[in-house]
Amino acid sequence: MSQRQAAYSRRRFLRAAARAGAVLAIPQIIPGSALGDHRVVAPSERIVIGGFGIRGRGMHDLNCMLNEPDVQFVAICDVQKASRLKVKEAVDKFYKNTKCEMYANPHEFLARPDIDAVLIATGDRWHTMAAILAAKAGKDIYSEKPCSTTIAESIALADTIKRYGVVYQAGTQRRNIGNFILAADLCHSGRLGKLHTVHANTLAPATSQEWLEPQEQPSEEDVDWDVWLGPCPWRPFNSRYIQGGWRGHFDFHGGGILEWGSHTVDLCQWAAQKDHTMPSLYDPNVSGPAEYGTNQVLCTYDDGVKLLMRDAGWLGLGTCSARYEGDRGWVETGDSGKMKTSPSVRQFLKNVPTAGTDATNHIRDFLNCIKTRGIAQSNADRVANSHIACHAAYIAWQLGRKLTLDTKKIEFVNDAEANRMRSRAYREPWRS
Amino acid sequence: MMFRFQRSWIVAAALLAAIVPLRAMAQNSELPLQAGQDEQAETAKCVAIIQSADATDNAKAVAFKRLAIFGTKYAVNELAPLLQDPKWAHYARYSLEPLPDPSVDEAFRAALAKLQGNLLIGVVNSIGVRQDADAVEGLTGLLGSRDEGVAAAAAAALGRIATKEAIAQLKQQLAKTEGRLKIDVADACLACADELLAKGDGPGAVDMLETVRKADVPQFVVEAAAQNLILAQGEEGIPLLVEQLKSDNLAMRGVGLRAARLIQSAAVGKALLELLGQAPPDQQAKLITAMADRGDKGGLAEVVEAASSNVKELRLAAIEALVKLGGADQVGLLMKAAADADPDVVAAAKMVLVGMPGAEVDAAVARLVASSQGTALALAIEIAGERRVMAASGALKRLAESDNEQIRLAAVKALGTTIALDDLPALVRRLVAASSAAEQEAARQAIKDTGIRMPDVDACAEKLAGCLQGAPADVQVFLLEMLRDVSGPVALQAVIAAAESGEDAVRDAATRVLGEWLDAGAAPRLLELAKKLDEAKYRIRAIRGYIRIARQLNPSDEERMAICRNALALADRADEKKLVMEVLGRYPSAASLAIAVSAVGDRDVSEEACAAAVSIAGKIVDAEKAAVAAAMPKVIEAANRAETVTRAKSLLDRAK
Repeated sequence: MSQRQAAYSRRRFLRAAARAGAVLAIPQIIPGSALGDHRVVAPSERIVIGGFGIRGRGMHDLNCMLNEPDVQFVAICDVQKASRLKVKEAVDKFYKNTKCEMYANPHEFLARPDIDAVLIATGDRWHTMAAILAAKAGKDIYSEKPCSTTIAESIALADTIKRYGVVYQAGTQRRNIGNFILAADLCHSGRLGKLHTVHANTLAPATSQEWLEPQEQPSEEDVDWDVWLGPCPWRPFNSRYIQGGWRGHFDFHGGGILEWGSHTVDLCQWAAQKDHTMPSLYDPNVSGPAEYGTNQVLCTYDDGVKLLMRDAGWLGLGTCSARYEGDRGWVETGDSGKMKTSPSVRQFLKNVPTAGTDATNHIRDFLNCIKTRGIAQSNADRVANSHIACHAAYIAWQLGRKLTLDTKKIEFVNDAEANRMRSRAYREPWRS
Repeated sequence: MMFRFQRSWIVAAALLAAIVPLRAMAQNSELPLQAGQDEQAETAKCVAIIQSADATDNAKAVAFKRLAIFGTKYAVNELAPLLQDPKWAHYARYSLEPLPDPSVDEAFRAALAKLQGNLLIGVVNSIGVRQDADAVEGLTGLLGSRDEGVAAAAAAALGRIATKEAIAQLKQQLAKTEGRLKIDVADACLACADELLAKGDGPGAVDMLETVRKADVPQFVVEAAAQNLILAQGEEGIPLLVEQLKSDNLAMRGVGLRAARLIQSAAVGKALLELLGQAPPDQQAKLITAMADRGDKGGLAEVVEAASSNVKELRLAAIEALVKLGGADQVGLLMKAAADADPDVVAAAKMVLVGMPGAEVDAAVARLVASSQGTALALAIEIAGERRVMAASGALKRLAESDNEQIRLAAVKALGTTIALDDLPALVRRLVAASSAAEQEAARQAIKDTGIRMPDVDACAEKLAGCLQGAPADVQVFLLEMLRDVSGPVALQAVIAAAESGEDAVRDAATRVLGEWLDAGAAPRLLELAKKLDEAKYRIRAIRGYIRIARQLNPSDEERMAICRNALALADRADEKKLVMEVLGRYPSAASLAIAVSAVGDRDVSEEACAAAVSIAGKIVDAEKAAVAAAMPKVIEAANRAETVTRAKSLLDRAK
């Protein structure tokens, strides 16, 4: 998709729906009063959406969706009562009614036949599980990233999405943001010459095994701690976990490689036209330039192209930077929207519309695909491959040794420990 | 792509683990074997921790997780009893599930008869993950469980195992089950079909998918079965694909549209084209979008015809499709659409005119710039600018002098993407002379578009800097912002000169853009400026811009520390000193610790310096014991916050 196409896709929402479902029972035109605002939307053009665990970044996604005229947001599912209420309040305020339904139980929420699609913005530990449950209920899915906590989850996610033919868009919105599109275009058009190295901005990989001190568990109505943990190993309750403090804990979080790599490794895969695969070599013991810091993992694709994950040495162009180097030039860009290039490449630069971390265009791409049954930019196959690369790099970093991945079988070659780190047994009763 | 514990791999891994001692160079996690550790001994240690009455739950959890990575057969007998322990059953499976030894399968199978409820579901799930074909009999017995969760788990496990017996059981179960469980069994059947395909048993997969498609299951399951049935058969599935696309059911047509995108076969393109002639307009629109996604150029004539349809949805879909399917021959059609009364059609046509690749398209647009009149000319100019049609630059320069404002403004904008560096001053003169806001905006945009793409940044900066003198203040401010974006040493020199000697609005802009400079090479000049400037407002900006280089940009470690030292010495306000402490905390090292400790006596920043020092020390204590041991007593003496003192004492103990 070119930057112009991305911008244009914003306009492209009035398309006949591809799915019927229960909405056919609703009158042909929903008056603005019924929707709670001024909009008039034919039901065949309306996408009914519910949310899983929305706060923080999820509220941004929710606002993007609410602002799309063909979206009707009807329900929130969250194990925390306070969060359920907060989302309901925001949605009801937007629609000027009190119709947003609240659920604590994911199965009851997904059993609603009128819900076409779900927005998943839970903590990372629930991203795969929620997406798999939603796919198995026939729902289309927009899921925040990182989309998986292990290699096995990445594969299960892609397999299930494919099996059910649902639309899946990961919240890696930079694929629909101008400066990142232009940078990828520079690679694809050959302006950089033959691409030899792509650089992904990651963060420090370490995670902790330490539990926070136990606290009295709240009532199930206030916080269903068992469901909050989901497929992860049990540990005692502490309120800091549910307030975002789950980050950095091994059971709940993939560390800094997954945190940003789910964006930036994905960008590199796209730029290098490797969406269909992932690197086969992962070396955490890299002696590159000192300014690249100590948290580097050098990955190599089968054709020799390098992918360097590093948390330092960037040119100050903003968070989630990516750099692409070819034999005729290089380009680097980040969330500031600014771009730096070698002199040879500057002639191809343009002032592009940038939106930082705004998900508006990306969500529009998702909604359009729901209607056309098209394949979204950040679809589950692409996401699985980029996440597998991140997980493999994290495993190599944990083990402190170079790993070779058979990219067809998704097995590490001659490394039993690494292979056993590809998956984690789900806590009962959850399964993928 | 499916994840499975292949039996051959399990055997190979077990052998390998026995004969190849894999030792890491420097493990970065406490879970795997550490250098020098033996997996037998560590397995025994982990088991001992798990069985200890004294170990904390947290320590036991870590031991279970370590066993998942390297635990040996010894752990199996020790952990198997825990499968019945509600507190630790999952942790036991966490250790056992990835352990590549047949004794694990035996332990799981044996547990089936002893468990119920969630604990039984957990073991059944693990059996499914391990694809233990010897468990089929035990699992079959659970299909009739009164606990639907157990029955569903058993079906899922059988689906993953996918042996002949498992398949027969699943089919039987699908026929006789009702309600929610039927959906779970159908899901198991779909997964089973995937397994069969992965094993190379296409006919088996097709048979299973047909069974599901014809079963009395919810619509979305039928959709899934139909899609997978089409995909499993490849070209042989095309008749079924066509059947879906002809369906009266909207959702089933959606299945066909999705499957059409997933089969890379020219026969699918042909089928779509045939359907296009028979379908009603709304369905034609979707077919055309699918054809475009597939890149089917065989239907270009039909798409071109549809691009003039009276049905808006169809017309829009066809126009949009031309971005992938069209070429120079469609430029005329698209120009006409771009002049339509409907803004959606205009937007679609412009998107395609700009995005459609090819030198022939550029040439066609250049011809239009040379030959069009009025609104059509303005449109052609806009497209030439967006596409950067260099062949049109001569005509664009001429048109930029037009008496017609619409043409003139469009041409000025387009110059930004097409002119050479030598023409840049003329654009600035145009900005200075602009008589309307629209003229100003067009010139500014053109200058921005020119500046961003000039290969020689210093030459570009020289041109821009040359325009500063004598320009009105607002233009100078704009040019300073341009110089920031162009960057490089010439640009930096020009901005510093403006910061030192310009009028107030210009100095204000110059010091502001210096604070946004994107090149660490600006540090020495910012330091000089910070020392030189008299006015506090501007001096503070220079210091903050200087510190920002250490915080956000990419100087060497030595340069970063030098910036911190210099900034601390130069800053006379607490705010900037605190910024320095933040930078030091971000880059922990013995050097950053020393600088932080040097400030613990500074009343402006004492607490922040102490906090930064303990933060840094916490990260480097194992590698820099002497530095931490020397620093912490000074922190303990200076810090007021109890938490900081406690941490400093603890770090001092670790460093000793």
